[in-house]
Amino acid sequence: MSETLRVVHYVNQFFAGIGGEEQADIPPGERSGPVGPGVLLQRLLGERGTVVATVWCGDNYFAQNPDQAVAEVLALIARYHPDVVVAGPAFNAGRYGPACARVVREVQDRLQVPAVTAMAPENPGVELEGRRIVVVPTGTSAAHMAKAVPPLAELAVKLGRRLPLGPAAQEGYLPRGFKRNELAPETGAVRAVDLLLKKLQGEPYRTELPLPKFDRVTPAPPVLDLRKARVALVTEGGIVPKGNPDRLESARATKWLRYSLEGLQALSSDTHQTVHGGYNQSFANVDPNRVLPLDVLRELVAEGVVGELLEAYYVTTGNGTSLENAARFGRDIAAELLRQGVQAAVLTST
Amino acid sequence: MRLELGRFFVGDVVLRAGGPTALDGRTLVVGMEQALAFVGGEPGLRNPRLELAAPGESARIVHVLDAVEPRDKVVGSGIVFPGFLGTTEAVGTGRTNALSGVAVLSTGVLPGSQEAIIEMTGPGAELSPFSRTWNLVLQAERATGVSDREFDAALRRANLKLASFLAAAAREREPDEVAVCELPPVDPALPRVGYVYFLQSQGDFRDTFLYGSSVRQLVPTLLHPAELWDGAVVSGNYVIACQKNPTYLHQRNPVAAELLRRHGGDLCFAGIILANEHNTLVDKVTTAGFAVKLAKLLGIRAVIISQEGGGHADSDLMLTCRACEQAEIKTVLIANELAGPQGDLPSLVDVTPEAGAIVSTGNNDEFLELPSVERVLGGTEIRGFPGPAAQALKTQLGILYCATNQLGVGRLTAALY
Repeated sequence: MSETLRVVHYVNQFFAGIGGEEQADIPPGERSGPVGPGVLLQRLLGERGTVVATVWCGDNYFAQNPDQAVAEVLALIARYHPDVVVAGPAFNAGRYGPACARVVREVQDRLQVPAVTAMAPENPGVELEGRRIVVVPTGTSAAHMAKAVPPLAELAVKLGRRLPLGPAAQEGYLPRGFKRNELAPETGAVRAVDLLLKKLQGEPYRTELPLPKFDRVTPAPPVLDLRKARVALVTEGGIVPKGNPDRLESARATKWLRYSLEGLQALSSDTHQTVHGGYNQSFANVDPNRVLPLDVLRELVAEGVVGELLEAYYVTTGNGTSLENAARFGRDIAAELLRQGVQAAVLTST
Repeated sequence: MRLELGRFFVGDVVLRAGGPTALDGRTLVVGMEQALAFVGGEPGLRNPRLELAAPGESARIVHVLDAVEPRDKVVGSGIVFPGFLGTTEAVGTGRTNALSGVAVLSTGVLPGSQEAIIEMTGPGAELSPFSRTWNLVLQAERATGVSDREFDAALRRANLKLASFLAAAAREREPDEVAVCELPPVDPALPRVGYVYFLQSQGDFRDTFLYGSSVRQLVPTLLHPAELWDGAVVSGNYVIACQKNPTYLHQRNPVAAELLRRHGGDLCFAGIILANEHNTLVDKVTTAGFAVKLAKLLGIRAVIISQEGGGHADSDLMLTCRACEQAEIKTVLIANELAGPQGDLPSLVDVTPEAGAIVSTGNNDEFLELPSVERVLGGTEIRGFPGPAAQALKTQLGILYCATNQLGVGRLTAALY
């Protein structure tokens, strides 16, 4: 599609040429054509796009009432029927950045129009909308304007034409946290040696696998007196009643289950089995207490070390479990345990 | 140490019921009866049989266990696959022949073995080195009264014997090319680089062997790449197919090959530090320490670290990376990813801040659509997929043999979006 795209540019009061900090409280406004950095944007778009309007909002106005501000901004943008919306560049501006991010996301969601913005990678606006928006990384101040606008213009054209986006490194946007397989020009082994030599020679290099961030779970405070506590058994070891009546999966589990322990002093190969596909099953099938230690818990209760054992246990299979499912199972089981007055759980893992 | 590898480029394989096995120009003629007789005498196997899959054929091989490149020692001490086919005298010198373009595959179902398929054509073929090799597929039943363990060992020996038998057909012939594996002294200004090569040995059917012995208790040791070429490392590990390091890729280790290629050019390849991915944290920590110490003793300044598998293995990778970087040895890791079907989940189960340079060999969880095929070898079903084995199917990369191999044999990677 090579028709000229209709582009609307969103900026703050400063880049709209209205004023500095003293004008930060102004409400959203608009005018036709490009202003400030929009002029550079228009030049770079050439025949491919026309900046039909510029919409602005004061930094404070937006920051203090973002829901209202974004609704007003969107209403103004919508009047121009854009093919694509460009917001910023916001560099490191702490109010302008989040405003751009919010505008872009809402333009996508509510107007179903593609949008793109640009700001420094450390701008809080990046984290605000995370993977939902496309952000071109920039330097920290407007001194970097000349470098920031060209990739912004290219992405605006691509998005406006509804063309599929290539990988982040290629197109010049911040990776949003999605991976897609593709064939590299060289084998992994060759790339590994190349990467190592770059590191050795002190040359700039880029990892192919940015490290995932794991959230840290703060442990609950310790049980004050175990002798008075109600304890429950929970496992991801796939221990189920023999025959697996509820068909718990061996891998990629989609559920957790609750089974009664009433009348059982210990598990046995007659009553229980494992379905977990991630470990050698023979030991757990011979003696399921090895994975769900009912026998030991019964002894500890009898000896008075533990107050009492909940007469039911909770189980899933932790083998290739998706992170989302695991988090959901954890929340569900914790809620159940709290409901039943449990103070502590023995969670066995394999 | 200096090993010459005589490569014979096989363009065509013909499998005949009878007659001799011979290399005729670029055609390998395999006399099945004679080949199986050579392989026979494995009391654990009943009814061993061979089939042939050609590159580009509309065929699928299922239940793949191990893959081996036919190799045969012609001159020098020891034999190929030392410890399995005979003496454990040190290998890696003299002359060994290799039939390039041929692989011998053992197939079957063993406890804990996960389904592993090879597509000889279609989108799945792009992701496997074995879609371009002539594959001799060995299948056998277990003899009565034989345990899983014995059956596995018998099948492995049969596969290795078959591989060396086939390569012996080249004995009197001149190779198409001679590759040399040696690490002569080079310009001392070149950076000394090492390869920390993790093997996976964690029990039955998840085992790897060095000179015929399981590396279950291995404390990191040193290996010359020529020993790999002679089959010193053999796989008996049948876990997740996409991240398999079969014997074929131990023999033809791509990281060692690339380091060797650049030895004397822009680096000095100081050697291979072989380690096992142990089950316990204590042993993983010991291993990391030993890897660093060996690297230091060899004056190594930087290492590539590779693994087999994932999960636990990520911890071995990260602990060793951290120990190296803290000892000022620069690292690059090679790992595949479990980023979920949409590619948006955490790719690894363990990390360390020092792991800032990782090569990705692709996301295991991405789905691929495979077309139906005309022929299936190695079995009659695809475990986990009801219906005929020849069917079209949509599957995660997990079951495709070596698709996201972590020795970097392929070009697959996961790009960031």
